[in-house]
Amino acid sequence: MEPHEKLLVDTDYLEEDVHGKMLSCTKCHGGNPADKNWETAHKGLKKDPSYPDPSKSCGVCHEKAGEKNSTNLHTNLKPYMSKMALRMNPDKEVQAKVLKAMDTHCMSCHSSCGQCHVSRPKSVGSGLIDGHLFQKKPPVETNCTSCHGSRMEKEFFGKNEGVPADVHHVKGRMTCTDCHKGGEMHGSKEAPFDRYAQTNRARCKDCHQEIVFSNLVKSIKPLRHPSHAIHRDKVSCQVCHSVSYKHCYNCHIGRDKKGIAYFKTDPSVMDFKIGLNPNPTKDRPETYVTVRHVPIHKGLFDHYVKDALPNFDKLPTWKLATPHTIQLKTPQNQDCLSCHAGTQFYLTEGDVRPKEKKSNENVIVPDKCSLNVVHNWLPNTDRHLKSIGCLTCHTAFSKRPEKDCNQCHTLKSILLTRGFIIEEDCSWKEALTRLEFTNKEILERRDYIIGCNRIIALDYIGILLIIIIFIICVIHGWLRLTIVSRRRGRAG
Amino acid sequence: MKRIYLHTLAERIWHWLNAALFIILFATGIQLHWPDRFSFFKSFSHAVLVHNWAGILLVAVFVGWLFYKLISKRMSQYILTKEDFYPGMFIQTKYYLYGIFIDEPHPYIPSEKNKFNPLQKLAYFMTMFLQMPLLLISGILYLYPDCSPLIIKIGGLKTIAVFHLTMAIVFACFLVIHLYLSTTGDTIFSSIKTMISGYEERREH
Repeated sequence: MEPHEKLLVDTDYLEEDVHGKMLSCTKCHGGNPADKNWETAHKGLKKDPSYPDPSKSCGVCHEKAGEKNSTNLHTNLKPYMSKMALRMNPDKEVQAKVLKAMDTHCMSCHSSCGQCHVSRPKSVGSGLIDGHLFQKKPPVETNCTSCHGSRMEKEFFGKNEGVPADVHHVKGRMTCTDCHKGGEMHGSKEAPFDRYAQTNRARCKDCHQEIVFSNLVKSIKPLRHPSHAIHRDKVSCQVCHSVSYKHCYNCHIGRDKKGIAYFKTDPSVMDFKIGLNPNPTKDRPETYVTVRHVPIHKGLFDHYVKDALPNFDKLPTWKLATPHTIQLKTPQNQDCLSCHAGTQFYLTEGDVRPKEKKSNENVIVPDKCSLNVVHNWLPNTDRHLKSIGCLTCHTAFSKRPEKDCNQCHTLKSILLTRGFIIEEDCSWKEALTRLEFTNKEILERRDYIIGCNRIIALDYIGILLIIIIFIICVIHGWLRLTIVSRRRGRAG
Repeated sequence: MKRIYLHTLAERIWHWLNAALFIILFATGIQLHWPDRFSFFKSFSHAVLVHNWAGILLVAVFVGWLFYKLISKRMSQYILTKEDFYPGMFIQTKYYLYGIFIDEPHPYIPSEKNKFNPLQKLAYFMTMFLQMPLLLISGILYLYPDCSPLIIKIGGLKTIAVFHLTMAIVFACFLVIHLYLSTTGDTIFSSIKTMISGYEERREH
């Protein structure tokens, strides 16, 4: 943006923008136009009339948004503060120094009504977006990504090397405001402890829902894959559908010899990690979520005050994350075994730095038991696992399959009704009930074989044969005993 | 009464071990085949476990029997001679169909070296050298289908399963006949006693 573009008010603002037509400059920004001395005329001028309190500017007309200003996360950064407070030293003197450091380094990173809808945020250099014309939806390039750039922008638009752009951008040409609506941006009635606890935040299910016909409307993208029902409330959407995203480490703040504030971090790392949800709630009940390492460090404030964060371990450094690298197909959702037979996607103890292990103990995924151990109740475990598809037992309707062999090994086998298609015109039921001796195709597909129950005719033939032989023996024996005893009687 | 030593201790142990294993295998096999109707054992998986181990034991017992017969040179008892085919089988069949009803003496007197009549020879030869190996091989393939590409070539597990079942039916038929014919000695239980003591007590005509 050129310097003059940042400053000059476009005449279109006065002619086209409702604010320009209805409100004078001084109504919002203050000042005294009658004063001929420019210095005194500009006395009390407000560069951003909406910050920190918009109630006498924007809030006069935009009451609802104005009322929520105190709880608006873009304005107050409350979750950031409340989490730092948990880690912070309770000593008042230390706290004062920490808060002063935060004021310098952290709290400047905020926005306001004007810094989204009229100009860029002050923390990224300000400057009018478009000659003071009000933007109903702040532009992504100048506003959203000017703050949310290093992570969200690069993830969503595929600017991280080797990581594809988010499918919503690629396929849907969607931008930030398509999901993050005004309601969410202006906050909720209560300031949440965590930004994910905000009640009106964007949710995947706003657009994607499992198929429930009663609420199926055109705008809903139905989730047809049975995995969604199986993993419902167990894993977050991102666990299956996001790819690598950015992790930051070791933020340190300070002032250089000239007194200029600076911060430095270790080089960021691209990775994908599934961790345990440290705080499952009704709203976010999943056991497994994607986690991101945040740049917090125990010595973050060391330049200003030592031992500022003695309770560092109270919160994890691997934090719940919703990466914006969503893909339909990801390495971890290729098949069930991607997640259920290995640890490469999980945040394991080995992934966590030794000094951070305690703080992340509720997030680290314990060593996963091998499939064979989990399924060792099955006789011939290996063979069962090789020949039965996971979904045969773990259906959407049986979250915890019964450990009952008779489910499959019976004439009324559940396999007959599970609807696995072998050929286009042939269901499992048809295939397995055919009076045929060969099952080469089924075996080659490594699908399940029920056994010899299928040839009912052989059962009948066998039973009949045994009965006939038994009857012959009985008749033979009866005749033998009767005739011989009679003959012996006569002879005797 | 004449006492003939027919069955050695090793043969008797093998016989009763075989009998016990077959009873177990039949019971578990029936449960496995009709799990919704029979539950002789605690659960299906228990039945599978018992059936598998009993089957493996049966293989071991069969191999032991084969070695014993070869080493002790008693295999010849199962070998049919020309005379066994004719007139042996004819005479024995006639006895079972007629002679036995008129209290005729057994046409063949067993001895330690030649203890089977021609029909017994034929039945036991078929059983031990054809049906038993087929039953055991099909069982092993059924138990370890990954161990041989043969399974795919012959049509898959289902073919093996059906074959195994067919052999089980044949053995069930054999068992019925075997049990009945064991009552055709001098008295109803004389053959069973012989199989326990090893000695056959025969009336002298």
